[in-house]
Amino acid sequence: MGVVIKYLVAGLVRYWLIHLDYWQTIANRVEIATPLNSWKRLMEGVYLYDHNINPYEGDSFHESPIMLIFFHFLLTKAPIILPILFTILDLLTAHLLYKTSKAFTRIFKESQEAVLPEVAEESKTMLLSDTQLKEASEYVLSVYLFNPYSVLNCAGMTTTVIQNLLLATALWGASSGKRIIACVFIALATHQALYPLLLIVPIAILLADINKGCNKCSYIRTLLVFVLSWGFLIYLSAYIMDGSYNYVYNTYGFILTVPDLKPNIGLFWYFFTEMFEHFRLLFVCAFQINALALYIVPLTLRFRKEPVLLATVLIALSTIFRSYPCIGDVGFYLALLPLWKHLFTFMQQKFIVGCAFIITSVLGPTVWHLWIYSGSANANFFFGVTLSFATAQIFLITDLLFAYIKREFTLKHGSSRQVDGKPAKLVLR
Amino acid sequence: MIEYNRMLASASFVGVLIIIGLPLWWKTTEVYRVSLPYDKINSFDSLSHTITAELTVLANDDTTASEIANLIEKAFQDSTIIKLRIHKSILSHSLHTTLDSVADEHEAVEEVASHFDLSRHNSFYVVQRKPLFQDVWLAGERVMFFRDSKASSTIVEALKGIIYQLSVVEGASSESADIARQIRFPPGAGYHVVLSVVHPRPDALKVDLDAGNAIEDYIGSFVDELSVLYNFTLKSQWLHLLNFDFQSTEIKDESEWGHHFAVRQDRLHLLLTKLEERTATHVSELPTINLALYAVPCDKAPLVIYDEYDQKISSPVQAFMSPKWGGVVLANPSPKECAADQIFRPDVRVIMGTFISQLRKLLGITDAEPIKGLYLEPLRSVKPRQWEIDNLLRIKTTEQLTSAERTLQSLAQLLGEISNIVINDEVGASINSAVESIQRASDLMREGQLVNAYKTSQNAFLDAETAFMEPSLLALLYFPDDQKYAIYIPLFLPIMFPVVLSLKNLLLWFRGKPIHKEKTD
Amino acid sequence: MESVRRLLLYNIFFIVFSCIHCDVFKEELFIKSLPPSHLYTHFQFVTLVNSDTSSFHSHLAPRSLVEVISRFHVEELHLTLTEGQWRHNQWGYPVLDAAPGAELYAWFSADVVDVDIQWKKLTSTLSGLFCASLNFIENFNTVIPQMTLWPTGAVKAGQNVTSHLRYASLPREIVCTENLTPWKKLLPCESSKGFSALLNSRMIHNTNYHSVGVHVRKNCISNDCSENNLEIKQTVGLVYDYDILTSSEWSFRKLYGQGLPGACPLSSDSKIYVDVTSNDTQPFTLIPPPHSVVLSQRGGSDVKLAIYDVKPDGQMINIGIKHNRNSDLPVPIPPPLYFNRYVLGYGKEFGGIVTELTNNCWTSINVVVLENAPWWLPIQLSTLRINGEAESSLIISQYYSPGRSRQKPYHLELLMKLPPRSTTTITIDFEFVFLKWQEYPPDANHGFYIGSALILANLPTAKNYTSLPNTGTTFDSMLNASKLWYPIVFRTNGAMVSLPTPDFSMPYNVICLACTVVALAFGPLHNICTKELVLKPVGTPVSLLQKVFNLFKRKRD
Repeated sequence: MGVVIKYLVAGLVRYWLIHLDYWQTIANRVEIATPLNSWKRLMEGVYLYDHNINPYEGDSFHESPIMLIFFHFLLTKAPIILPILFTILDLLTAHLLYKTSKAFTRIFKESQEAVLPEVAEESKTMLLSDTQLKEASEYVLSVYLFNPYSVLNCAGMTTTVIQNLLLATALWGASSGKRIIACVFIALATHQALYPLLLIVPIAILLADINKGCNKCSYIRTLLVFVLSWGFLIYLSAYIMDGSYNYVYNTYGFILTVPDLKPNIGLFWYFFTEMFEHFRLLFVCAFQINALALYIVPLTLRFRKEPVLLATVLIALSTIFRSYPCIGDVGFYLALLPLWKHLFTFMQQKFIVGCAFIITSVLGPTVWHLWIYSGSANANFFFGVTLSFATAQIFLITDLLFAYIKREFTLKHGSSRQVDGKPAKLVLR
Repeated sequence: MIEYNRMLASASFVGVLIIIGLPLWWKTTEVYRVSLPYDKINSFDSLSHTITAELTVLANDDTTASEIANLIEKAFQDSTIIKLRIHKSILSHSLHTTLDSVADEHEAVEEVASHFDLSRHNSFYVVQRKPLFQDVWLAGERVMFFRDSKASSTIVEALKGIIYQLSVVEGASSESADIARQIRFPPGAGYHVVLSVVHPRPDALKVDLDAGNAIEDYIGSFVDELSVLYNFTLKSQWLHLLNFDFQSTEIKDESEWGHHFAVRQDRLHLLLTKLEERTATHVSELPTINLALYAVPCDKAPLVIYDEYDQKISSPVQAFMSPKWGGVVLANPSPKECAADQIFRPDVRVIMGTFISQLRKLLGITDAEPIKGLYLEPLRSVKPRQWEIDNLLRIKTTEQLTSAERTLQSLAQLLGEISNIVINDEVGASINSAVESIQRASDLMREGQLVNAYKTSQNAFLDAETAFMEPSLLALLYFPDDQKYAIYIPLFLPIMFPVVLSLKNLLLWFRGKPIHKEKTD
Repeated sequence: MESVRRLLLYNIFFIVFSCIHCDVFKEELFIKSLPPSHLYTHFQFVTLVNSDTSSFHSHLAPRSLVEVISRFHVEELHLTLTEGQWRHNQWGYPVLDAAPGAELYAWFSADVVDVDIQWKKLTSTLSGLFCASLNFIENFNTVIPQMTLWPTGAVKAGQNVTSHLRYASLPREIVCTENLTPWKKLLPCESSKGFSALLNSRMIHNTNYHSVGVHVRKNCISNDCSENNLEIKQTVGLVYDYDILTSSEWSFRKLYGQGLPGACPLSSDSKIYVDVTSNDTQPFTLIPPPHSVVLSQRGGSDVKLAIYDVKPDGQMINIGIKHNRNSDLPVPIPPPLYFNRYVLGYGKEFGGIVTELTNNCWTSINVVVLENAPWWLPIQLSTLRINGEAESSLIISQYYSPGRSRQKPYHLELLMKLPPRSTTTITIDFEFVFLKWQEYPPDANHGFYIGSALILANLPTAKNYTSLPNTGTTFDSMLNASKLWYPIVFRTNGAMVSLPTPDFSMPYNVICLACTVVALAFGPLHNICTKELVLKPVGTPVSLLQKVFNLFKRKRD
């Protein structure tokens, strides 16, 4: 019952915000809407398509042709249902996350049982109980429904709502062992934003773990389904655009080469505004490698036993380091954090991170207004706020990971910090 | 197992950063430089080019022929630039008798032309003909008549000074410009010849002149002869109301005017400044030779130029020339034209003749000093002499080749020293093609194929100039090296630091040794 | 007697002379007072070049221009350099309207294969010829108007002219003496005799509006247009303010600093036209009296013109007016079509462009509006509103070409029907683009100029209309030249926006800070993945190196 009330309240809040007089302000804010996902550009693309102008000729529209067709159909046939549609999609995302977290907690329980023999005696109290695990799912739902980042994201009617839905569906499919759903939806998400490509790794591990059997075959099968569905989507998009692959420059090319320097909550915009032309290519490649390729293998090797943590960390890292992040992405991974509330006791920087989140989220719009509207601040202020926000997120993730390995150590060796009777400390070596 | 994973993770960091990162850095920040043939360019030696020319000595008997041929060979031995291939032979009996019996020299030339090919470039014939009034006779064809072997020294002097103009050709390849090079126009792909008729007082005096036809007729027939060298474009324009104050002083004299106006020589170059404002030289894409005809208004006529010693230059045509710009003719109307109907009809033939003589000098045909014993037939039409054209070919070939070599050498030095300059594909292609053309032209010159050598050397010159003037060479010229490090260090140093440190552990593990030293108690 | 003889000789000579070379040069001056307190003078120098003579030999025509035209295979060329804004609602219509700054458009002949390369070469050469920065015209500020601009000269039938047209405008260009001097050099009489002697740069750049132009086109000689000649027209349009002249009684001395020293001896026709229509309401006297006064009825409006025929005999003429009585300021009558354009919005994030067109006629007028937004001002077609509604019935036809950053501009053309006696508002939104720091001009906070919009209209009446008919070359073709409609291309005013600027002093700082944040993530993640947690006894002697490391590493407890 309480759950239904939560859905209702969250839905009403979103619906009310969309119908607010100030809705246009919300939808235009740089933190919420980026050139990739803003509603304004979607409307422009659909309008151009409707008037027989190729929306990929200019550079205002950066969605995939599948989205173009989908929204063209909706806007021409039934524009009135759009606010309700967005609200429902967001609620659906929340519901899927709830079910996914329930499945994840089940996986935790199983893996916990598996390592039971290795646990030190004194640490038995740290093991998770059923009630704790059930609470976690409730918290996941509440966080996604009520955190301001996801609420504003939905109110702004950005396409990140759809992105989150696809990710949530893929995670749910992986956690339930449904290979086709997981791969197809992760391919859809990759087709839209490219960075969810990284998630194929934790999803493959999850699927292999759940579908007991030969691991390697499972990996190969997952990879195959993913590649086939992604290839099919690319082909389908080209088919929609009359056989031309030009749309790739506006979608993937746009994400990878970062031509538009509109400010957002990420690091790329000011860096490439102030970069010398000669080095631009090197740093674009460096940043994209940082976002895509650098951490996937090491983190996978280290956290192979814990694919859910791997998924959370990868989603978070891709949000921080991607070329056009928005708060909708932030809201999504924040919703996955309550799964790890047993790690919170081991985290050391919760207070700082929390305060930094709140301060930068409030300060950001303020200095933006000062820069753009009052003309009394300059770009550095907003850049500083963006940097602090990114730093806060980085601290959050690294703290989470450190907490995990500390808990792992404590589970194995107990909580005494003594070697041969002498006081000792934990170091990384 | 866990350690294996950790090492593998470390290895993957190393892999991404060093194996992908380093080549990426190298590739994306390198200055795009096409490889150039530096060694070939440095080995150019401007002074080692030679042109081989063919000379045939035809005499009545063998001794004369040998004597003349040996003398010529000895005289041309130490010339570095022109090597003569001398053929000597005896006149055939029929030609001998014809030459001896024919009265007019020109008919004799025609006789020789019917036996030998006089239209081949880079060839010359020295033929003996007994009934000559002078020692040596020379006209517009590639043949020189001499009386007997007593004229041998005159022949040699004529060959060196007039036919082959050794000093001028050598001057074309020297570092500093000699007089001839200072006067003539620098090499180019072609020339625009613009006739500007300056008409300062259209209200006071009308000028009846069809400038277009004049230039097409006279100068057109002149430059048609030079079509093997260049493509000339002939243009004409009228500059009205261009008033220039000559600051001339009136001097009474005995001519039909009763007075004349004296213009000092040092005032003349200021006229060129005034002309340059309106001739629109810069619009043409090729170098422009300006020929200006200044129609002197009645109240300032006739203008007479006085030289620096204040001596009147009394010649029927008042004209002056400026090297690398062109020539000006001051056309004075006659008192009859001024008084009666105020229409000035300039004498087109005389004026065009003056222009052509100026054009000859500007293009590089120099008139040599007279030689005792040599009769040089004066020019009767606008056509230049055949051996003058050959000479021009030789001078221009040498000049273009030398200039191309020097340009390439300085360009190579510049590009070699400053490693920041971008050398893109077009510049590389131009330089490579210029180097090839230089080598081929040098070979062709040595073989004696003058026209092909000229065309190849022109290509070499144009390619070298194109490469030198390329604006894209300036990109990245001023980005200092140390600032590049300031850009790389903030990102790559903190990242490489732990990765490089972990390399040590990785290597130890690879070799199977324990990573951390176990403390022995 | 002497002068009469000279005149006779001159005329006889000129008949003979003109046919030998067949270049004709005419100079004209048109003066009109604009209500409430301005004076409009328009100079026109026309050279007609016989195309029999090749482009290599020129007599009266400027060789530089003819060579440029023939080298780049240009059929028609229009270049204007303008400073100031023409107020259409007060002053009526000029003879030739021009956009503020530099404006260049040209049609290339059909045998040109790559028009863009020729266009670039043409702009570079013209930039050198006129000392104007036309070399800044690139692909990203050139458009191909589809419906707005049409050739005024002779064109082969059936030829697709639109694909060979290029239009560019540089609103930031300034016109000054540096541009006037090479322009004057193109005239056969240069600046010592004739009407061009009046163009004293110190005086004419001191006006509210001055526009210098070169227009080249092909004219038909015969009726079936099998022969044509080249017409080179150089124009100067000036608007003086009586307040700056300190009196409404103008004269050549006050306007140009000197009187007119006779006509150019090379011109076959030198005439001055003074519009004396307002003599009925605000009577004034022309001194010296004109040679003739004609009445022209054109398209529903009556215009009285006083004509002076100037001879090249060197006598100084100083034409001026004297008011008969203290007259009131004339009331401006709005012309049939006028417009206004401005920028909406505040802040440097979003904005809009509004173009208001007011149709004062009793009939509806069809207009084509060309909006040429630069690539850094992306306009959103979905926000196009005519009088507030999205898909308006006033639009007959629409053409939109979206722009790409740094590659091409945004190009919108609307063929609209303006209802009678109404004001139509066209609104379109844009957002600002954040440029790279090296793309800002040196004075970044001065703002960026948005060029003017072009409006092509076929007016039903000729009220306030002073343009020459298409087939006419000189002002006398304007007399009684009533037609069914009167075409004119207007330019609205430009606008200026302020783009948000980054901090230009910060490149290395930004690199350091952003890279620090990235490294902040790398360090801990690298440690987590490649190291293990062990218990280390406290108090173990640490080496110096270890101490240094400890400064950087975080300690675990």
